[in-house]
Amino acid sequence: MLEVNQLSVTYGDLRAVWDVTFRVDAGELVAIVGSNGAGKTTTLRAIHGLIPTAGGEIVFDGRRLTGEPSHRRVREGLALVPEGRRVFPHMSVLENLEIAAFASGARGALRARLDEVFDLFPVLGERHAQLGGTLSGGEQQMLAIARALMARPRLLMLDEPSLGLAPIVVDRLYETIRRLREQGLTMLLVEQYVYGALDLADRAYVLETGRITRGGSGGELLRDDYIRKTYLVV
Amino acid sequence: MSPQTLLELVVGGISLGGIYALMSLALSLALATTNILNVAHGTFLVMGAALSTFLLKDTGLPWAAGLAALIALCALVGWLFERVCVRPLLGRAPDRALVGSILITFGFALAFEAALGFYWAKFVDPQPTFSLPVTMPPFALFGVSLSGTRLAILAFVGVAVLLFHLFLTRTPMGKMAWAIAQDYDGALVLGINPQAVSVAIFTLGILATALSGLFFILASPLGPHDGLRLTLIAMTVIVIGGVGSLPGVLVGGVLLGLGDVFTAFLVGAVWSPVTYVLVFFVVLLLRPEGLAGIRHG
Amino acid sequence: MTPAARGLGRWRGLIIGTIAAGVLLALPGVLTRDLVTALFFAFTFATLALNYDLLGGFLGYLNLGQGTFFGLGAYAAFILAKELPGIVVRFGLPALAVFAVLAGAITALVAGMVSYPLFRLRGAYFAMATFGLFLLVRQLTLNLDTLTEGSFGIYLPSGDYVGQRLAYTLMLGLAAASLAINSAISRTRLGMAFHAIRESERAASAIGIDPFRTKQVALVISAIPSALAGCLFGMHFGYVDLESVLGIDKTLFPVIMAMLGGTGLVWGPVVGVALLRFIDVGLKNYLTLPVPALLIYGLILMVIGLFKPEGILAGLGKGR
Repeated sequence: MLEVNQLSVTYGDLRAVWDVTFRVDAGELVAIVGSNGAGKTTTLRAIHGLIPTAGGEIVFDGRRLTGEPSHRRVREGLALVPEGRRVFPHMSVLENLEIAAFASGARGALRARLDEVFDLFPVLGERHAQLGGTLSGGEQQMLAIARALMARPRLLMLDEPSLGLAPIVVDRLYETIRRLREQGLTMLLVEQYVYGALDLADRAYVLETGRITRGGSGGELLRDDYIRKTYLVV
Repeated sequence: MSPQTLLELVVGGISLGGIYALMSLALSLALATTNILNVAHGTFLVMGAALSTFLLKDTGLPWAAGLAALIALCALVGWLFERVCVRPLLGRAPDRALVGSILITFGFALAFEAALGFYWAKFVDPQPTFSLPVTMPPFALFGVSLSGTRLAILAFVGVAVLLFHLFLTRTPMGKMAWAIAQDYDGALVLGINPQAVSVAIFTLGILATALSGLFFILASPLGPHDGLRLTLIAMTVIVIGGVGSLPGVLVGGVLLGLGDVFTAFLVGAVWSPVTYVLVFFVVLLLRPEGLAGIRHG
Repeated sequence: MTPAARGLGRWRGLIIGTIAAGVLLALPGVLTRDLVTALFFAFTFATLALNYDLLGGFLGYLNLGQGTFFGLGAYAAFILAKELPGIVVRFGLPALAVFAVLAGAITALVAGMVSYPLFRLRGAYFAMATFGLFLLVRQLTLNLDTLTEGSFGIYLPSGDYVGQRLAYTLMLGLAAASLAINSAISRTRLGMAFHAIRESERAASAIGIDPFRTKQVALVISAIPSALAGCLFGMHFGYVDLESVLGIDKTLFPVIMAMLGGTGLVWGPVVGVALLRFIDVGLKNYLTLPVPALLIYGLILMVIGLFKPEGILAGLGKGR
């Protein structure tokens, strides 16, 4: 569904991402793991169109995305849950969800989508009138994912959803992500929490200082010696 | 100071402050949604004042037609300005956008003011002044007489602010603008089109600002070179009230308006232009967190 | 560049500079008075543009109020002259020189103090605040008329002003000094600090640079030659008033010139000065268009902003 070929991204003179190539097939959950500053967020942002690329191509469902503005990619079915949640602090949970639905081009079926989303995240249903800024970190993360889902995306990209959350919250979050996978949603997960991501993923890649250094199934990489030594703190 | 004088000053200050607040609101929104500071913002108020004077006083058109023409022209200018000056900046990297935005909007302000002054002096009046001395009957309230003009201004400001609020909270475009103002990236990943928002905000914002110019000159006249000074006033209000905060902008505007009026009364009109710059710097010094809530370019 | 080549480059710059300086110094002997005055203006703006670019180009902080320092310096010196007329009459030019130095110090002090509120801002806010400062100083000059004579201006006792040759030479010196300052800074640790701050203030403070102090230093350094230029300017023509030393051209042209020629490059403002003077002279004498000058300059600014915010020199690929 998604093919990224030789993607390069630069910040001025600084090359952040070098010739990155990977793919995500329909129904898969693919993870990209790496430490801080490896270029994971940059890659996702480039795929979504938030930052320009310096080389390579991004192909989504056979269509080249180069040059297409971010908001149009959302309409094509590409959704991103950005790093740091980015919920609207002065809007209620419900308003956040409504604007997400509206912005993605959804007409009608609002009620149905809201029901789906509240089913996945019951706590959002309880707090639907609460302002986004007053939610806890975990709740904000759920809201961020729920917002992205309002667009009924075909590919959901998640940028470090576990960042800054307590382990219990992360477990619950990953449960929900597992549920989404069971429902057939294709996902691209980018994480610093290597163990959780590899455990969850069908396939995964390792990103180090802007380059992909390893790839394989989640299980394979979990057993890999180098990865165990570098990323899985024993 | 008699109660009558005091009341007049207060009403004058609040009505002036209301205009400041309205103008600053438009600038604040434009800022929050595009991250571009429009230095020419005050110039549009002057433009509104000039066009009003021209259409409503000098051409002898029936005022309804003049008003319609005014609204149409100002909306058009707002749209054009966004198209020519703002749109090219939206896609740029932050530092190029910053330098570009200052050059473009500052250059526009200079060019516009120069042209306005020059051609007005040439074709309309060698001493360019924009004013609409419409006399309105004074209003009696609790035995004290209030200026009808000031009340008209207050009414306009009240309606305009209300409309702005409804726009941001009830209309789809307004909600998207409000969303972008709160979190640019968060809005973008949802599929909000920043260019569409920018068009709406600038067209409406400039229209609102230009109309404020009309009401401004009901009370006091303006000249072609007052634009940059007015932008500075708007910036001061934003510094006091915070970007994107409607109540903050209202409070800031009213405070400045009152300060302006009382300074003029107490020490003389020449010192009014000094007050707001001083307030600007003092507020800057006193806000240790810098400008929380203002996103930097 | 290899160390050898770099060293040679430095010498080459110095050689070219010395030859150019020699030529320029000889010019007043051969050119007409009008042309010498034109060059005097060019050097004035070169000083202002170079000073502006220290903050604007190197640090990325656009100071739309560079003219404030020019005017402050001029008025400070003239106010001293006004209050102490006896000294001027008795000592003549050396007294004026002392007043100029004092004015420079006063302006530097003001620059240092005004840094505190100003540098709480960044980007366009900073730019507008500096412009606000300029407007404030103009307004204060107008209002405090017991000190400044308001809109009338302050005049030197007749005969006691700086003659053309001397003024030309001194202003050339100020421009050359400004160029040298910019060039030197671009090569030292201070220049690297500027560059670091320009790229990312957070990163800069993480590696031990004090952003505020650095910016303050830059502002003060940029204020001094401008202030001295203001004194010299006023002393050459024998008077200062609102339009001559606090006119909008003094704060605006430096920006246009630096932007046009290449902001952040040592020679950029110089190129810009040459270009703009050319345009200005052309407009005044040959192309009498029925449009006001500020309209043209505003449009120029817009065009630069829309198409080439880095300036012409940068476009040509020339480095520092």
